[in-house]
Amino acid sequence: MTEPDTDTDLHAQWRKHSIATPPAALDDAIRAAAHRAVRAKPSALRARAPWPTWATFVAAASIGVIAIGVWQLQPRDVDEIRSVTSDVPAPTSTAAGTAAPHARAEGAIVAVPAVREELRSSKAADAGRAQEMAKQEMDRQASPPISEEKQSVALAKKRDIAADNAVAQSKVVAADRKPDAVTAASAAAAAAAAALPGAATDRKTEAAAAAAPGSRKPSPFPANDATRADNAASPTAPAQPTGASPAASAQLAGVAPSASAPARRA
Amino acid sequence: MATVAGIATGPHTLRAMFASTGAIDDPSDEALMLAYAAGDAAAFDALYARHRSGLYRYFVHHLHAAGHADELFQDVWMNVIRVRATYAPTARFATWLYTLAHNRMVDHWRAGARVTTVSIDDDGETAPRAEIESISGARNDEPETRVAASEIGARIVAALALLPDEQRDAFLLQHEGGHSLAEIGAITGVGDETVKSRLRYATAKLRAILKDLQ
Repeated sequence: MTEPDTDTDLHAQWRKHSIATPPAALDDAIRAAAHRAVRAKPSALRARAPWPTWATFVAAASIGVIAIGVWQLQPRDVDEIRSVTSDVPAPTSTAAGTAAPHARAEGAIVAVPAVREELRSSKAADAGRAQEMAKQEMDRQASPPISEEKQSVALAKKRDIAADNAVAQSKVVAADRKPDAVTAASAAAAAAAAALPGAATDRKTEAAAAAAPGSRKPSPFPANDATRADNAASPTAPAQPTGASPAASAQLAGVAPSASAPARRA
Repeated sequence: MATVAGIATGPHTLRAMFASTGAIDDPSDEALMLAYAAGDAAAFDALYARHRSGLYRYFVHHLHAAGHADELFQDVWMNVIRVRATYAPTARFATWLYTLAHNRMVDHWRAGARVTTVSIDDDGETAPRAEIESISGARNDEPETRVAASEIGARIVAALALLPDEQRDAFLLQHEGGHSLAEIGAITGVGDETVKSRLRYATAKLRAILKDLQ
């Protein structure tokens, strides 16, 4: 031994007295196991691949999926760039047909301006559509909502019709009864008109209420006044729910607002 | 020495290469192991004949029960057979073989199956002479019976048994495996200076015992 801490005498003594050997049976068993391993599994060594077979297919499929994903994420402006780089004017179709073979071979390059014109026209059309949509949006934002306007107009018409019916009914009743009753009918009509929404601004209803000599002071609860006036106008009719129109009340009482006057006159 | 490329084609190619280079008479351990991995069973026989005694004594001097030594010795060789396909000659075959043996020995120690022995600390204190002389010589039911052929041999073995495990391991790796300090450090996972210190303590104790006996 060449190590500095090795004692030659000690090593010699050790080699002299350390003579143990494994038993022969153990030797035979180990050798037999080694020979058996070589004979029994000659293909076991080849089967120990770095990774299993299915891992190869999984890796290939993963690479394919990633490649498709990257390809789909790439921008598609290759044709547009190619059209910009070429400024050669497009020849006529006859000229292209009679051109030399080498010129026809360059047809793709010659046709590029036509593609560019198509792109320009499509871009112009898109810009026009965008401007039109922006204008419509601005108009829609500037004008009030159409639905509210229609609702207010319809409500005003409804109020006018209700007032006219009430006035006509009151006139018919006044012709048959005393003047006090006419006054009460007029007040009832005014109250009925006031029961509708927006009655405070209705000029016809106010005028009818003012024309009644014995009209009471306007109540802060117009709906209740309308109900009482309706009952007073038609004593035989039952009390109606708050807010019911005079026409509906008259129908329930068996008197049509428009056709009852001539019948009663007769 | 045969190359790995030659081994990959099969044992016959390896033998032909040995014959052409004149190395068939004394192929290296690494070449034999590669030949056995390629399917040459005779290469294993040659390899086993070279290292069977040293490896067996390594276990016999570490353990003090014949059954344990035989069991661990067989485990190491079966491990060699099992992992023959993944063997790569990155180091000496003996270093690789004794690394397997050392790891198996450590596993045995950790399992708590080791017979508790009276050990001397690493402070350089020599073994009490009365304690060493009280150790009996050869006994028929222990592996030391096959080891110690004389009174001196029995005393050496007994003195070695009194060493700490690390010092005894370093001593056996050097004298039975023939490894250098660097190889012992690689096998045991410690530095060269630590190996040198362990060997110094071990040889000093054993030398003192031999001097008294002589």
